[in-house]
Amino acid sequence: MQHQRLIWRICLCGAAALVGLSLSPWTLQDGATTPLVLGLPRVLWVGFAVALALLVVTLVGAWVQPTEPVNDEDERR
Amino acid sequence: MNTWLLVVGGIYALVLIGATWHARRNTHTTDDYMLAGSQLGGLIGALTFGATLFSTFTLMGMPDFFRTHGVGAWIFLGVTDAAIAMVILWYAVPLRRRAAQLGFQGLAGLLVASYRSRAAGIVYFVGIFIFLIPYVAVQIRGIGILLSATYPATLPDWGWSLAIVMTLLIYSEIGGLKAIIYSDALQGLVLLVASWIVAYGCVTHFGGIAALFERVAQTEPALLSAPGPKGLFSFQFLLASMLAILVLPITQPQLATRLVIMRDLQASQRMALTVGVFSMFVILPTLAIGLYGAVVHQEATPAAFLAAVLLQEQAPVVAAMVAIGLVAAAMSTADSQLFALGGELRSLMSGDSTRVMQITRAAIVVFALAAFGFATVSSDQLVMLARVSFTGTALLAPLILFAVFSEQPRVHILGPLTVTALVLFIGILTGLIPTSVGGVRSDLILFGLLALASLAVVLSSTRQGDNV
Repeated sequence: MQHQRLIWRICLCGAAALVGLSLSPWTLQDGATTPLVLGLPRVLWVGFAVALALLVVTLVGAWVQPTEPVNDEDERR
Repeated sequence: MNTWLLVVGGIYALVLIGATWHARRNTHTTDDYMLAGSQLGGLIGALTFGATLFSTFTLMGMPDFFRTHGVGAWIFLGVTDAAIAMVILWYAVPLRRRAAQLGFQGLAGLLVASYRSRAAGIVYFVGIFIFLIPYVAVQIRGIGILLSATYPATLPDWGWSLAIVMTLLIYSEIGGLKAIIYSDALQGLVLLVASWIVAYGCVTHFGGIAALFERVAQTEPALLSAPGPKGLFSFQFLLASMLAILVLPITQPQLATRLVIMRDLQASQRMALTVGVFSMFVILPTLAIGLYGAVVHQEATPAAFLAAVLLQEQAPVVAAMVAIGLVAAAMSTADSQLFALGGELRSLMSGDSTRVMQITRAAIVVFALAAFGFATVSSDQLVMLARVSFTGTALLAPLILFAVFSEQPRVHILGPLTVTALVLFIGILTGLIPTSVGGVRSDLILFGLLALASLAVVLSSTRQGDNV
């Protein structure tokens, strides 16, 4: 349980860090398009990578999220 | 195309009538009507949440945003909507727990119960009324302008807007939230299919994705980096927008209600993840459509660009699907928002339940007419108007978060704090307060001050031994 809580907190911090990366001066540098990845300019491929990573973090978070029963349906599970 | 419009529109109308009839048959109690029986599964929950979240703001606003301001728009909405999935995952648990403790008819009612004060609920209701009505108006106006430009011989723009308002009122009033959820799921799928068909045509026009980006680089290189040709996507604009959008599941009643009425926690977790994936599939095609417009329709007005790319340049059957998809997108957001406003009003009322429901249903009609009235005078800058709505409702976040996380929140501090923030934001919108102070955006300063004041409330309450 403690292990799950730790991973959950890492997921929350990871999500915040990813959002921070998308807003970093490097990503948003005025007029910068390089390095290109698969022909995509910097702000776009960084944005795609961050969005994908956020979905992975959400997936892991859904597995480890500490929850207590909220209603009868949850109790039965 | 008119024939195809009738065929596709007819099929859509039949499915909508079927969904409404099915919802009506399965609605037996007031809670069934207002809260859909609180038994939503993960997939249908994600579809209704996604369809409510995405609207004409996405399908019409975002292509124009990409066309005008460039690929930084992906950070503005793509990254933000991926992060919303995590917000849903995190927030659903405490919200559902608090709703189970206090009972749930709407966020306003939850605030009244948590703060033990009607004032808290009224502040919230007034706040969402001020900032949701214009957003509903944006939806129906956007579609009205586009359809009247495409079919000038049929109806004026206000006529299309009125037809949309009447349709969504009919199925909402008959089938309640279940009808809205079924139609949202249908509308979400139509929106997705239509936008991908258009995007595919835009990419193949250039011969592939790489060729599309090469042409954009030749046409306007500033579109391929931040802050874009007009300098919109600055760090401050993106941060303020992200903060406003990320708290949508917390502040906007139509989204928060969907978190509460999920069948169980597992369903809400599945919904969070599916909403994140759905977001990517909805926003990606708008990138292709926008960049195509940047090359082919560089000088066109937003309405002319959208009418051309979404309707006039498409095969008749595709154009008909897109037109219906656009109407569906507008209705799926507007219906949920109007119904949620009614639900919030209901959660503030007490007394005879039949009378309360009569007032609620009448109020939904009044809210719809108010939105229609606003639609006839609002601007066509869909994304910017939507952003104003998001920022306005975001200012309600501390009031709601204290109600959810604190056992004894203090209305005499948080109520005035929220009212002050709303008044200051209206001051910024009306030009009474400058839009930036010392080079920092005023809305960002407002967010910062609100966060600091909330932190001060937490610290002072902890020092006094209160459970915050």
